[in-house]
Amino acid sequence: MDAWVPGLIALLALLFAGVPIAIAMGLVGAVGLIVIIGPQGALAMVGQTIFDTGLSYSLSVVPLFILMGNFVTRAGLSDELYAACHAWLGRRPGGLAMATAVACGGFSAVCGSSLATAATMGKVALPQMRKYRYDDSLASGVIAAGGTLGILIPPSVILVIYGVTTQQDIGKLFVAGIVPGLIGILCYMGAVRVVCALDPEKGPRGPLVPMAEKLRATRGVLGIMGLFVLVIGGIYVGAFTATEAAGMGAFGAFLIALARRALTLRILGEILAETAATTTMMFAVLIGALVFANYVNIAGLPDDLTSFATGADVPPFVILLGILFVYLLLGMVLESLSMVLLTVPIFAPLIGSLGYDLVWFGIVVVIMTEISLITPPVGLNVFVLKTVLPDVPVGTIFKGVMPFILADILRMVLLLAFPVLALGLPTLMG
Amino acid sequence: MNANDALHSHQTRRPFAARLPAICAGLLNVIAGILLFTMMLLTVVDVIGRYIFTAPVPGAFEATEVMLVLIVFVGLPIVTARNEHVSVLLFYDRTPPFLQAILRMGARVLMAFGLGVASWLLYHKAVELTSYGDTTVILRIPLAPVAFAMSALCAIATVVAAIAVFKRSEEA
Repeated sequence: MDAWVPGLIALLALLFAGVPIAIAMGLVGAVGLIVIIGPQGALAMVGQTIFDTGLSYSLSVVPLFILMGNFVTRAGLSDELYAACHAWLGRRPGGLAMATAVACGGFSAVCGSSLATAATMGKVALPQMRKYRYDDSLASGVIAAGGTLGILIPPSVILVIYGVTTQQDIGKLFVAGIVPGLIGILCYMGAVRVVCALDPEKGPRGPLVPMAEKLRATRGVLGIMGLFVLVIGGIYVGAFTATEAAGMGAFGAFLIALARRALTLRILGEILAETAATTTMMFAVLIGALVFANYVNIAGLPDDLTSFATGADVPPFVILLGILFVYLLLGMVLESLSMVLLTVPIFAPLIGSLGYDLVWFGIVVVIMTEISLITPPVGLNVFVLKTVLPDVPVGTIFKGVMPFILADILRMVLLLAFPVLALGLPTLMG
Repeated sequence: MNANDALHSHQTRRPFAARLPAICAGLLNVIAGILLFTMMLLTVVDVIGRYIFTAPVPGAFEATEVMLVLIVFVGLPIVTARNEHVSVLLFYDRTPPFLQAILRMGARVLMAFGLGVASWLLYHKAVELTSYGDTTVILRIPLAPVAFAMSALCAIATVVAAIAVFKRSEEA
């Protein structure tokens, strides 16, 4: 039996028993290394990983982008963003739900987390949609699905982690996420349109808004647009590295929150403490995953996979579909960061050897992760939304999410058929 | 309840020992917050210095690295105390109560054990770094104290996790 098989089994057993992911991956990885290379080398390696992982300049983007998202959330920019989308789209059938999809996309442009996007937009958009008698399942479904855009439209915490584990340029990954993110918004709007065409009762028309009012509402999104242009524009033209962009973005968001009088010293302290705690949680998982990755690498799992794939007489595309299927299954049970950290070190060498582009694959992985956030039984976005909207049953949200999962699958097919959708912009970047 | 709430409630008229965890949590939160805010400002000053005064902050990236690692480990006792480490609860939530108690106990023992091992490994790393006298390249920040701090914070988290082993309920 291969040296990685018992490790994978032990890991899954511990995870399903409810052992924290970081500890499960770290302990299994450490034990595996001890068995293969002996205690002295193994423990030195594990100690080095624990010490080194946080000492990383490129990973400092993670807390800075989380901080930016937290400032933006507290600044209340989401209300104005939604008001603007509402003003432009509300009059159409299902228009408020479409406005929600667009507003989620807009919020994703300054926030790197899907859960935060869903929670924030849920608080803003749901009361409005209820006011205009939107169906609860459509309303909550579009928020849960729209929230997933948080990790695709840059900045994105998941893309940073992907970039660090595969040694791809984080700036390029961010830029590659833009077009698929926009397609995501369009697909979600299309899904709303189809749902409302089948049953117009689900999404009645909103009020007529005069042009002057529309223009006035649009001014409210200037802050978010400015921040996005500063951060992603700065990366695109090469003015900033990803870390610098994150620092500037966090500072910009801090100034916006300050200017809007949303900050007291106490609130600032809370935002900072919350950001630091999130950072710790993510790095604990990251360190555990790196120890585990060391073990599976030494045990030869990526090599075994690659030789299996190149030895098997099937086209690369079939192997890619197999990998996507694995993501679909894992996505149903694992939390997104752990799924990415667990799978990417194993699959990336294989994907590279098949001749696929690793920036493109990063976007593919993120879209699979987005789908995992809204598929039952553990669609995390659905549960986050549930905490914001306690009176909507989980089943209703899952039902409402279905059309958007179909839209995601359509988007995935487009991305597989036309990799240029992801790779076009980063290529222009040079 | 998060550490901030813990800090601001039940503050009055309780013995010092009972308030100690909340005080520690508050202190660690403040340290992590200051480090994070400084890290943000340092990046901004570095960028502005480079573009406007063509004078970037020397060694800014090294300082950022050290601050990042400290933020991560300062948060460790807090996240552990709040039981906020990411877990897969799909199956755990569906097991019968008696089994849940066993699984919860097992998970907490492993948590304390894992953190303890990490602390011990970091201590050895720190001793090793002391003997080499390793520093960062530009700022010459000595790395041994950083590793000792990481080890100590990990040890505090171990204690927190070990105490949680002996608690009955869901709360940590």
